[in-house]
Amino acid sequence: MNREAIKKEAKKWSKQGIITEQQLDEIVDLYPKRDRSFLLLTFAALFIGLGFLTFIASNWSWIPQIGKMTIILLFMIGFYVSGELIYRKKSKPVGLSFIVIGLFVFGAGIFLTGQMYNYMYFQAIPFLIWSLAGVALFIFYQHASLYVVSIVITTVGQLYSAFVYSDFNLGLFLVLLFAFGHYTYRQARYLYGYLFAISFMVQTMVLVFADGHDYYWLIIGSLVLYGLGSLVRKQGLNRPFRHVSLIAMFILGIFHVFLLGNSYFLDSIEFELIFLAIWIIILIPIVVMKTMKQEFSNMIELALFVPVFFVPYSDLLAMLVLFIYSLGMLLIGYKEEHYRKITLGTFAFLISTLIAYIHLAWAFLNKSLFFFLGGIILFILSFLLERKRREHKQDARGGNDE
Amino acid sequence: MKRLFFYIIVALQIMFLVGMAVSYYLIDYFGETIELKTLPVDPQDIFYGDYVTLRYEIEEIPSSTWQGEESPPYDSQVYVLLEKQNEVYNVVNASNERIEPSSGQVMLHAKYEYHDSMQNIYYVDYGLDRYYIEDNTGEQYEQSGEMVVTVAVAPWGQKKILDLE
Repeated sequence: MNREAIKKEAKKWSKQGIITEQQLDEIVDLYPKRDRSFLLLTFAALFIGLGFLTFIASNWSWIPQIGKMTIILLFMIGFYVSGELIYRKKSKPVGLSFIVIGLFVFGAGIFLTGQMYNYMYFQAIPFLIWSLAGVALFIFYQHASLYVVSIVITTVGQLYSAFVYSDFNLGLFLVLLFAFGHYTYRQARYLYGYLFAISFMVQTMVLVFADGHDYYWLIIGSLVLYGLGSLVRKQGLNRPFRHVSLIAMFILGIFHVFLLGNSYFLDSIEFELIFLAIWIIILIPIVVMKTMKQEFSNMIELALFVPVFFVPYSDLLAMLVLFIYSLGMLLIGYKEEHYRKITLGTFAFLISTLIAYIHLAWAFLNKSLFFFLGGIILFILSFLLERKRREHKQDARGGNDE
Repeated sequence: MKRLFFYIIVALQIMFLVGMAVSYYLIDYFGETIELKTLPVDPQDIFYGDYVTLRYEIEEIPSSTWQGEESPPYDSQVYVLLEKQNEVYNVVNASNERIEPSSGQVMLHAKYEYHDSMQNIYYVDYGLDRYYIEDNTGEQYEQSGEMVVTVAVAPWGQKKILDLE
């Protein structure tokens, strides 16, 4: 609680004679006075920096090249060195924010210098260098803010490579796997796990699409992520990896429902048997591992990875897969009395119903009737599921009380 | 000891940026100078404040000298071999796959733009289409149609415009 708020409250108590004047002071002293003077200083530095920056930006083309280089370098060194000093002597958050600004100045510096000196890139080299600098700083400070900033730079760099050069950048992917992978594994924090998994999925997407492979290779990337998640025992990795890959596959399943009924789309993809082979090779160890760990209940999650597009009527099968997954989660959730699984299953089931309804009824029904009926179905469903969930929650509570 | 690591990281970043700048100035010492002929540009377009817009003859590569794929991806790397013919350098060979220059030839890196199948021309970009000039000297370039540009090419592929006539 806040010192000022406590002081106000405690004054009331002392007025009523509940505590003495001396006790009032003692209570208030329990809450340390926060030193906020650095906030003003930070704002002062920020304003001066911004003023200087806008002044330079508006006169940028008039400054000779040497001058531009000097400005970039001075800014970068200034932020880095003052950041490091503040971090050690005054305040860690302020110091780190200076370091992060220094890292941004370096990134901007690479692009500005490249533009000034007529550099031509055929790959996302600037982003690779920039992300390496970020990783090095993260290794030094081991602070989450630098992890977040650097992994964002790496992922955005991969997207930049996809959009600008229509190319997958192997370097950025290796940075993710080895540099981020190492610290993500060692520290196994949820934040790192989720960010790593998301970056992994995004980069796999770039790999699949930029190299012109058929979209369904995404399933392999996702299955690998899921397998890694099931393999590690650390909670901070296990859950994020599995969640991200399952969410990706659930979204892909929704696309499947709508696209696989379309013959133009089916004609545009080529079915490669090698895919099926690789899929099985990765799947078998996952199944074996789950059997050995006796995790039969979450085996149902694997339904989402089934490559339904290989068989006829695949859009209906895709729908079925979504239902198998959501109903499976619901049933297991009730059986294991696992509150989170029930919520997840309920949510997945509602979405699956909505998707199935849109897919099947859109073409046949009058549009207003479509929305009307759809609304009613969802309303009834959510009412039933919610009631069941509450009953369950109450049961669980009641059980504890006894 | 640990702090040393931080200063090494910062020093490497400084060296990288400085290196980028220095290698540009080193083109003057190690580069080979070549002369390139420009194509006429719409006179209203050519002078743009503090720089002149340039287009080059060698940016239009006839399919007779093109050796690579028929339609490489946009913005991909193209290797162009030039040879001196009649005072200026012209394209003798171009491809999206690496080709080695023989003696007397200069290799330039370019970005592939598109293929005009009607005229059978492959368009590429060398990233040399701006020449920065001093204030108010733009007029002298405005009137002249075709010009000769002197370009220095470093052995490591970097290039810059030295002069414009």
